[in-house]
Amino acid sequence: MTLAVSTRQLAVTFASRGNPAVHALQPLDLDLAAGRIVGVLGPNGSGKTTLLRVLAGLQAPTHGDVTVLGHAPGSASLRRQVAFQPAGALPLGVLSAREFLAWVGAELRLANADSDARAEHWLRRLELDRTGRRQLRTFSTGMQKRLALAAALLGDPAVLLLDEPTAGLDPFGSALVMDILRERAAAGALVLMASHHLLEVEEICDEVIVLYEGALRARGTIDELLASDAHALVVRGLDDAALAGLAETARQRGGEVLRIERPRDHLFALFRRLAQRRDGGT
Amino acid sequence: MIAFARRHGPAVLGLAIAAVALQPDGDELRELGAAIVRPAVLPFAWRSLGDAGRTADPVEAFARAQHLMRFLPAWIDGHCAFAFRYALSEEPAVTDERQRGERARVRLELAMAWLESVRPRAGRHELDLLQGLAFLPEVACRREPALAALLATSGGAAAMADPWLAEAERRFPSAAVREQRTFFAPTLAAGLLAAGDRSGAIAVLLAAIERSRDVRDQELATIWRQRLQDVVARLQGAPVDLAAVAADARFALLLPHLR
Amino acid sequence: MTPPAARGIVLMTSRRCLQLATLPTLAAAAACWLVAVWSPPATGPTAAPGAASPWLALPTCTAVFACTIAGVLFWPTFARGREGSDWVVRLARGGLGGVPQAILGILLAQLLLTLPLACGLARALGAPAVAHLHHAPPPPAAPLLAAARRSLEFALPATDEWCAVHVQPLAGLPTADLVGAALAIHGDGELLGNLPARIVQTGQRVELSFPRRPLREVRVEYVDGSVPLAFPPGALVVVGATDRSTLWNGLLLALVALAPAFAACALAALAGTAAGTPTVVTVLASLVFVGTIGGVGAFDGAVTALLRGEWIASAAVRNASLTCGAIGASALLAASLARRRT
Repeated sequence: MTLAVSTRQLAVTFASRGNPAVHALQPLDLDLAAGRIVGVLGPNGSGKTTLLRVLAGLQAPTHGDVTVLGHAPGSASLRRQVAFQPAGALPLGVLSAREFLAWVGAELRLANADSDARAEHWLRRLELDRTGRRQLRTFSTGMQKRLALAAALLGDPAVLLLDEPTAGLDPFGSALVMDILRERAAAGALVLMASHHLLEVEEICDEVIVLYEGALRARGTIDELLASDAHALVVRGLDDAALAGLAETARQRGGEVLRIERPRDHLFALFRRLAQRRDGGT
Repeated sequence: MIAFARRHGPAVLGLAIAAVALQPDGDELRELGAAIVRPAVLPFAWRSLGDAGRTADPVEAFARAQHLMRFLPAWIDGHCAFAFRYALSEEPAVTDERQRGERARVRLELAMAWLESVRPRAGRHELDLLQGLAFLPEVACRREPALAALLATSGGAAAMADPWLAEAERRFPSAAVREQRTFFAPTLAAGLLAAGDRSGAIAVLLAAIERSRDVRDQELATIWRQRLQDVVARLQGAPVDLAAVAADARFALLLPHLR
Repeated sequence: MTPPAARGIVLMTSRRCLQLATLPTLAAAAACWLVAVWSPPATGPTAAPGAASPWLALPTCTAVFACTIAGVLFWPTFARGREGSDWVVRLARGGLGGVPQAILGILLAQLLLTLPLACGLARALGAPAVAHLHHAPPPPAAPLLAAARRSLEFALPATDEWCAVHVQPLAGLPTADLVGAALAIHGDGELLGNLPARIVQTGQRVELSFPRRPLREVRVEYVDGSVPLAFPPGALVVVGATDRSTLWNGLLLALVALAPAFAACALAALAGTAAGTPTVVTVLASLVFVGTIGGVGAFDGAVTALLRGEWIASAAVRNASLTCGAIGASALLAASLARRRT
């Protein structure tokens, strides 16, 4: 297992004169492997963004050690290998999507032709290739999010730090983003994403970190975190009498029937199916 | 086009109504334009004038003053100050007397023309302006004798001043303004005498005698009238004792022509 | 393919500044030209092109103002807490999140806008086609000239030939009945001529022209008079004989205008380490305005010099520009340190 991110006793405290200090991150030990998608969950102010900013080199830790791909987070050698997609709007709103990506490519020291080819690929993939000379500031939130992801992916990074990558996206956009993140993880990148969309996290993340008031409260795979001794038996084609008989059989065998309900798919799965149909999938 | 009309139509309509209703003339439009750009230009113009006062020649300083005052049209004292400063400036590089006089006359005429151009915008300060116009030639002649010599043939500075005093009296017919012109008569008469216009000088003095009846301080007016009558009599060839006239400083300019 | 102007911070910022600043600059230049041409000041037979300096300074300052404001609004890391600044801080090189490159872009745009003004508009406003060096040699230690001390010597650089001397000393109270000071000018020991007028008061400016010749030293001799004279720096100016192109002089003016703009941008960036966009823009606008009106740097004098046909490059201009540059560099350094601390 290749370690992509490692923290030891990482803590961040914001002190301001006259106000009590805010412990944004309390001593945190983390080892995150490459090739996985890790969700960072927690309520507002729990330290998710601070953790990502520390790993991106934008916030100096008050205490502890951090390495990303074996380097200090602010290291110049990580400029291309680590991508950070902050929450909120993109900068330089007067540029077009292509101009914005061209600037990102230039800052990442990509050759112009290579940068343009990569930009074109991601714009097409993220359905932004028809934005022409439109300025970023006129983009919808979803379009900005997709362009932000394109910018983050432009350098083909080994670590993707994403703050609310699907906030403001429609379900089609979310599905597209999640597919791309899966691909990146499959290609060996660590994807660390902070999100409030629990359903998406549940669907995509291999592992979840739960922060509360800056402290690590839980960590593990979805299965580990949601493990239970109950089992669900999903059947089709039985009437109510037959269902009652089935329940009775379960009781006779020492089981406890917790509830009998008519399960239904969630809307997100519906959108996924619709999206696949729209793309010509099955 | 339609979108433009919809967006800007009301504004254009409002402007058109204002233009028809107010019918602004060129001066008003110019004043409006000046008012709009004044905040942007004034600091530059003021600073440039300040620099010119220290380092530049008088011509450049006067030109800068004109730029500045274009944006302060109602500041009549300022106009007068800059016009006087320019008209009274020296050109040390010119040593020839006649040339000095000619240059001084050009400066005087430019300064007076500039002051005159401000009249329409002077408002209640027009009297100050007219008085400034009246007395600038006199001051300039005292500063530059070559100019006084040049103007002597046409009645001197006083002849240039009198029309402005007359205009001031016409526009602002107060007792004070009227008396100012009345008491200016000896100076004007002296100028005319210097130019050889004896009958013109007598006419000026006779008019002043007539006007002295309106002077508010009649005790003063009586003495003044008596002296004017003595001067007129002498100019007409009568043997008159001029001791009282000679003792009166207001008649000093006349004395050389009475001997 | 995306044009190069959209790739680098310098060109990108420059392009944005040009987009926003060109129109106001052109409008200001056109308005100033119209005012200057339609109602020129009456100066009689003597031209005074130097008087048109506000009409050249105003559009130039408009360009400076518009470029700096546009650049600061465009580049996110100029102020604290701007939307998307995390992107820029991560991607842009250097400790200031691309601010130095953005300032370069601002200055490039300003140069492109002010160059035509300094070359074209200046000529349209009456600047002569050629400029001459006006050198003010440093005065001697006790620069007083009177009947008791009859001569002052000024050393000249051997870089040019000279053709005139301007004298504008301070006049003291006369020591006897007022007789203006008569001065003679000597060059390298030879009499160049007597000043054509006596000096009686401060502010009087007297010129002496002579056939062009190289000079290493000028000596002012007090011939007679009762007015003592003092020669502070700038009271004696020698005029170079070599014709220099006004176009080059215009380029110098455009370059001179960069120094205060650089200082203002750098100070705004320093303010931006602790303040948000409105404060930074206010600081910048105030610095540009106050700097212009207060005559910070060499810009103001350079505008007048260009219009009068005086060669702008001088020690005073160089020193003032370097001072602005040093202030700007210090501000950037301080901003870098401040950002590192936060």
